[in-house]
Parts: sequence; structure tokens; C-alpha cells
Amino acid sequence: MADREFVFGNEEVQKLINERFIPLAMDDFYLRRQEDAVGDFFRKVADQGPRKGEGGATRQGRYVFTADGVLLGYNYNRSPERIIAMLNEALTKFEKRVPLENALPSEATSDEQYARVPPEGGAVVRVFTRVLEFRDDGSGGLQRCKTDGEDAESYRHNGFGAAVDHLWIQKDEIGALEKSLTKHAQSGEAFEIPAPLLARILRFHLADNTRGEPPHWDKSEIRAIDWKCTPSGKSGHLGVAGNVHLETADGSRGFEGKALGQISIQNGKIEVFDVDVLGGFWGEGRYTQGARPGRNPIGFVFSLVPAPSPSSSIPPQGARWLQGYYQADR
Amino acid sequence: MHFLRFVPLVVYCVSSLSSAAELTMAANMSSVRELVIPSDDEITWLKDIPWETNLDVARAKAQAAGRPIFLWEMDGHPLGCT
Repeated sequence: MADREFVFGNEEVQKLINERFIPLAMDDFYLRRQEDAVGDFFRKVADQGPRKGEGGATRQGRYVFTADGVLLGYNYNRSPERIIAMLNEALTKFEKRVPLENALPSEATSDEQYARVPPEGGAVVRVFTRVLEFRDDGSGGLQRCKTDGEDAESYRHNGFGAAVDHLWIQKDEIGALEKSLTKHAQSGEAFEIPAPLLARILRFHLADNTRGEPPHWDKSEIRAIDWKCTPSGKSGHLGVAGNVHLETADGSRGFEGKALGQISIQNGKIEVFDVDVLGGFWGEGRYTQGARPGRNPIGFVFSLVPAPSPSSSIPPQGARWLQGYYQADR
Repeated sequence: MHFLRFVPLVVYCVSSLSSAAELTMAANMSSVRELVIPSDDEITWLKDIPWETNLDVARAKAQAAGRPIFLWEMDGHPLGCT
């Protein structure tokens, strides 16, 4: 979060990157493991720097390299000034090199174990998460948390910014929802979200990821769930509402909240997926330390990605074990 | 819904019920979207830099443009959950 706000939100950093570099963002979890040409290429670049990945260790950081794999710069610092200095030094090295003449060989990804693409015929839903606080006026109303620290030096990694992830919905799940909607449209009777989809939402997308990679929920940690879908009376539209309670066996981490939203499906395609979840979250994980003590407000907002883009193709954090993600109810 | 067969429905204790009820009152539910979704000012790091997410595409672009590649690499995708 601090990187985003203070390094890549810095206008001077943005200008330099946009005008002189090809910007690329990738997940080290996959890249350092891929046994294919892409993984080999990256490791060859990283091996020229300080992150050699001994014992499978992380290689995260900021790299500058040429299209043919020569490392020109590396750092892992949150100071915009140091990033700018590294970028300028890398440019000086780059300008001294002989330009490439031959076309690059294809480095197409072939390691199926780590290949992740959005589900064909399915839907991608963006999931925003933000911790909130009660207003001081005693009204019970909520507000965004005030951040303390206006630069990289004074900023604490408090997770008060919005986190983002993606929910992947499969084609057959959309079909099942549409079928249930058609079946119950006349009676107005409530029906359930397909079990794998509901379990996926609960286990992988109602996690506090605002301070880093969160622990996801085990199936046994779903203590109570009563979400229902109700035909809204308008063709292809349904409402979603209900409560949820997630909690670890020892009670050290949990979430209790309420969902409210609407979904529209037309001819096998989701056109609207607006679902909000609000409640109290407590506890933290190994990589999400620094949570406020006790139970605190948190909001999750699900919103359909209308058109694909490079950033919308980023896989869900929970999809590192893809089968487990899709079959979350098993 | 077999995965929830043994889950007791609605098992809130008294203290958490009051907390949940206060949090999820209608006024708060209706403001969640506005409070949670980041404003454009918060995400200039995303919308003002044309990030590629595919190494092959970035290499081809770098060669064509005669520029080096800048890679932001994190455990957890930098543009996603990290």
C-alpha cells in the first residue's frame, strides 16, 4: 500500500516510467516458480542482482532490464527519490548499450501449473476491501479511517487504503444462477447461490487483505451463512441478502457481517454484480499484522469488470491452488 | 448445499449481535460502496501508469520502443492483492 501511494503515486516517478520505460507488474509467487521460458528468463535477470532466490526465497523488488535480459538496476526501497535515482542510473547504462537488431524469440508460458487465465465464458468481479471506523458524532455512521503519515518516512503500514482482488465466476455457475432465477421468477421464492461460488466468495474474498496477503478461511471456519437470492420482479434481476459468520477455531480471527446487493443476468452473461458486505472483523494473519485491536468495521464491495484489461486479468489471490479455489465447497 | 450441512444457521452470540446490528444498519449498508471504492486520486499508481501484466508483451514493446523494462514484482500481485 505504501508503495502504491508514495512511490507509484508520485508524479515524478510516473512521468519517468511513462516516458522512458515499459512498465510491467507481476506476481513473484508465480514468476519465480514457473518452469518454462518465461520463468527461466525472469530468473536469469534476477540472478544478476541481489535476489537470487536461494531455497525458493522471494525475489520481489523493482527491476530494470533490457528486452534481451540484461539487468540494469534493482532496488526494494519505498523512497521515491531512491527509485528515481535507480531509474536514472539504469537509463545511463541502457543508453551505452548497442540496440537489439534481431526479433526476440517467443517466451510463451507453458507451465500449466502456474498458468492462470480468467474463466472462459465466465465473469470477473473486482473486489474492493477497506477497513472503516465509526464517526465521532455518536450517530453510529461510518467513515474512512484517517491516515497518519503523509510521506514514506512517517507512514505506518496501517492498511487504511482500499485493497483490490478479483473474483472469478465460471460459466456453468452463471448458467445455474440464471436457471434458478427463471425457475423461481413467477413464485418469487428465494433460492441459493451455487455452493462452489458461495463458498469461494466466503472463503477467499471476505478476508482482510488491506495490510498484505491474508490467510483465507478454511471450510470449517464458515460458522453461519444464510445468504439468499430473490427474484426482483424485473427480468433477469435478483437480489442477494443475508448474514455471514466466519471464525477460526480458536476465535483469534473472525468476521461477522451482512450482505446486500443485486445481480443481473441476461442470456448467460452477468451484466450487473453489485454486492456489498459490511461487518466487524477481528484478528490478523502472518502477513497482515498491525490490525487494530478488537472488532472493527470493514467493508467489501463486489463490482463486475465491464471490459477486460491487463489489470483485470490478474488472478484472484486465492487461485494459487486453482482447483481449491474453484471447488471451494469441497 | 452439502458443504454447509453441519453448520448451525445463525449462531450469533448476544454481544456480537448488537455489534453486527449497529454496523449493518441501513444507513451504513447504503454508504458502503461510496466509502470502500477508491477515488481516482487514490489510484493514480494504477490508472496513470500503463502497466503491462505479461512479460512477453512487455519485452516485445520494449524492443519496438527501444526502451528498458521496469518491473514491479511482489509476492501477491502489485496491482491486485499484495
